[in-house]
Amino acid sequence: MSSDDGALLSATFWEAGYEHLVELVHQRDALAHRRLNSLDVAVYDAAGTRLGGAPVDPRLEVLDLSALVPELAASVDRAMVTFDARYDTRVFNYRPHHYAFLHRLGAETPPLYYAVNAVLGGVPDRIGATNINNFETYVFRRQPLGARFSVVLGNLARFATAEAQLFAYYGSERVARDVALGPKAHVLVEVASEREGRRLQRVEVKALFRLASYVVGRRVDSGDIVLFDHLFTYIK
Amino acid sequence: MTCPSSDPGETTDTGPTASLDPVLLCYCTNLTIGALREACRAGRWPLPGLERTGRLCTGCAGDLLYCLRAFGWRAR
Repeated sequence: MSSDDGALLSATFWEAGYEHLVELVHQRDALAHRRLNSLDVAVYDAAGTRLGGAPVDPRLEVLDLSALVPELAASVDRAMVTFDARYDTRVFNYRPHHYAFLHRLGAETPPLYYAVNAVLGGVPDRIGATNINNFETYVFRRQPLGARFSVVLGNLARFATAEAQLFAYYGSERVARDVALGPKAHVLVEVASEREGRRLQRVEVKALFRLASYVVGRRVDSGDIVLFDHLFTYIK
Repeated sequence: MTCPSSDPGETTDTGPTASLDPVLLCYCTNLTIGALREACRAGRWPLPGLERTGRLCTGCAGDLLYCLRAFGWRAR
């Protein structure tokens, strides 16, 4: 790597039955066509086993996970997909962003457009983040969504097991769940949308180090995904 | 740049194998496993400018602690 190279490791979760397109570089302007220096994509099952992966031509604008992943993950319903990017910090002076399009094949449910969770890197010294920020939150809308919810967590570490706590808040009540994930493992944790008449208001994930984390909402009737959004660090 | 496989399991009793030395450990400070191994061997960790490794996005903190233990680093 040169001294101008930055590195970013992002992750999302693929499920069978969805059109899932990832825009490798979201930033666009009229004067510059911005590209990554390199990108490696890898696919993991829930136990953290690497199912496959390959370098991707960084000139590619959109990567079709719905074409790429089923070949590698034919035996699983869900897989974690990692995006290991190198970029020139003079071109992306903050960091590149991957965005994705997600739509259930053949469904009338509207598609979703979401930001791929950047997990490692992209926080250069100059931004000045100095506090531990391994506490992430998702706040739900106040209006009923008519959906059932879950949180998907993935451990991007190479060697370390992650021990995390997932908290769900229903008014003043807090429901805690412990989660342990080996390297590159992931898990989907169902979260009740209501508890004793009180609606789910927010979820939090606390861990020693940062995990890939998404909130997933599915229509009660069809199961189509209507919410797919990564958790956020609100306090730095 | 293509890194070697990121599969877990490329470790021995003394930590990550040397084949993983080119692999990036901290994506915020660009620290590689090999650079950390060498710094620990030479008693020079943390290297100048890398004092905040593991403290920025925190994503590498687990692997950093694992490698520091495996490479015999002791806080002074």
